[in-house]
Amino acid sequence: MFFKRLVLSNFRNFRDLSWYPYRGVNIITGNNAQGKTNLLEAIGFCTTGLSFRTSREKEMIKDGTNSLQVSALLERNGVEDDIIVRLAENSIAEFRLNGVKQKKNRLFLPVMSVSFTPADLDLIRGNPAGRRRWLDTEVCSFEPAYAYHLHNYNRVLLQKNNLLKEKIKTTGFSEILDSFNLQLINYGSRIIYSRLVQLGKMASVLKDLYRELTRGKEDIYYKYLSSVPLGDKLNIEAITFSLNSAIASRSLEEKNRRQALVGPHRDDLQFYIGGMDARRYCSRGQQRSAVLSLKMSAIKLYHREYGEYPLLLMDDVMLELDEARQAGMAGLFALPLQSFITSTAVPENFPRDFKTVKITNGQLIEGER
Amino acid sequence: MHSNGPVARLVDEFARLPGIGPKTAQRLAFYILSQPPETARRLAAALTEARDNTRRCSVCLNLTDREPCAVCADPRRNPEMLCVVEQPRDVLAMEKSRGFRGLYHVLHGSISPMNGIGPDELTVRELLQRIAGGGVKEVILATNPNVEGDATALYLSKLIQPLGVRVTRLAHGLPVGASLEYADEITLSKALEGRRELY
Repeated sequence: MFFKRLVLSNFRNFRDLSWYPYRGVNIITGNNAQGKTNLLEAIGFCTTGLSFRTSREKEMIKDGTNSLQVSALLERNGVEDDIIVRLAENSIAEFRLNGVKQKKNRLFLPVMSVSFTPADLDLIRGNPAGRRRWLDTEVCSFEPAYAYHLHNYNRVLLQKNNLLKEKIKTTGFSEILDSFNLQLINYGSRIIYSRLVQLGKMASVLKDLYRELTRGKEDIYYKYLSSVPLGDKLNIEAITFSLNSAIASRSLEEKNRRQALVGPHRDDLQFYIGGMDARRYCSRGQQRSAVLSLKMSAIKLYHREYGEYPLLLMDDVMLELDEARQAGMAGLFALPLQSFITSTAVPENFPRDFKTVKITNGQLIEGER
Repeated sequence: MHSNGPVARLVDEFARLPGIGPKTAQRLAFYILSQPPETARRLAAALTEARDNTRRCSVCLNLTDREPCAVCADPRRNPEMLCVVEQPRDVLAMEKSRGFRGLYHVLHGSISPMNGIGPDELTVRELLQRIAGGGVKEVILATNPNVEGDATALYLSKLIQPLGVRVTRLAHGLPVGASLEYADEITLSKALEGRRELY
């Protein structure tokens, strides 16, 4: 997918902006606090329906005005689409595709962009919740029903924890607990199953990309660490069975500690580089390469699944990557992939041709290729 | 100008109602005041009469002005089928369908530990007594298809099944008259799970 034209009005610090981005690598430069990331946010917002920065979407409306609009001309599989996203102070966002208002709170499913921000660099050494969130986002872009299962799972979990905390003495406590556990097992086993399927698809792609990026000395692989004992067989019935028995065997402990201790909300993903636990024993550089390869695998898998490339949005991470890693990304940028990269300076020896634009105080100035 | 006094009070009272914001509340209040006094008196009388004469039916616990309610008193309805719903408005929805000719039981909510709602806050005891009284052959659990509604249905089915009564759950799937392309992914996958043999 490509953005051929992008028009912003009253978006953050942009009053009016009209831009014809390059089909390949767009490097967005400028000093701090001029609006580089805002531009990336606008692109992300119209491709995913969400801001990657904030959950309070109305923050994106320019101060002193009461509505924003992002409109764009896209090309997908050779077909042009007009999109318009409007957000007003007193209503929810409205998405129009070729003039037709979309019922959902987004334009495209799956979402059409992969973003890479400095916070992602902590994926490997950060906490398990961050890794689960990353994995869940990945699965969602390949399996729309996953978001529904996850939403219901979290709701069941909330109810179960409330029941364990407050209402041990309620009438029918154990029957009510059972009725939440049944749902927890139902949604939970689908979540674990989908995660494992996604990880299975990703493993070999990730391994190849990591080798390419680091000029092939070490292998990367991961293990899904589950609170549920999982066998080798990957089928939903087996997972349902294990989750069921795991909950049964720890039910006393759950009652004593008054919280749900078994299920995908307690699971984690452990990465290994050259056979070592990457979280503990690998350098920051190795961890960065690993994260970069993860992002690149997401793009490859997306193409394999949907026959086109999503947009790549990189916020301020280019300069964090050394030249060897930038060079390792050459293969990625050789693909027919449109990318938007913010950076305070134009990277030297960037592996592909690119175009720059400079953002100064909410104004865009086209630069040279 | 009307920051206190009877007009402001009327606006405030309207604004307490569900689905009514401050603007609509104002509009309603000023509309009533612009009409002849009978309009307001009629409305007030209707409100008090409805409130004073409405109570829960002793059999199904739906809201009613008679004892027992019109549905429970109708001899043409099949007392062997019992449809359990969360709210009185769900009875209205079922009745509109005209597809169900049995009797109802209104729970007045669903199990939700985070809101402190358990079986004691609902009309579960009355339901069990009713079934134990005999004559019911099938209980249709028509609670909402969300986490709390499903939990309530699972809980009730656990209690009712040992009484030797058939327990069924309302199916979820595609809306009639809609074409497949407009169904969302979730509904479609649910409908796929609940597919049936053609006969």
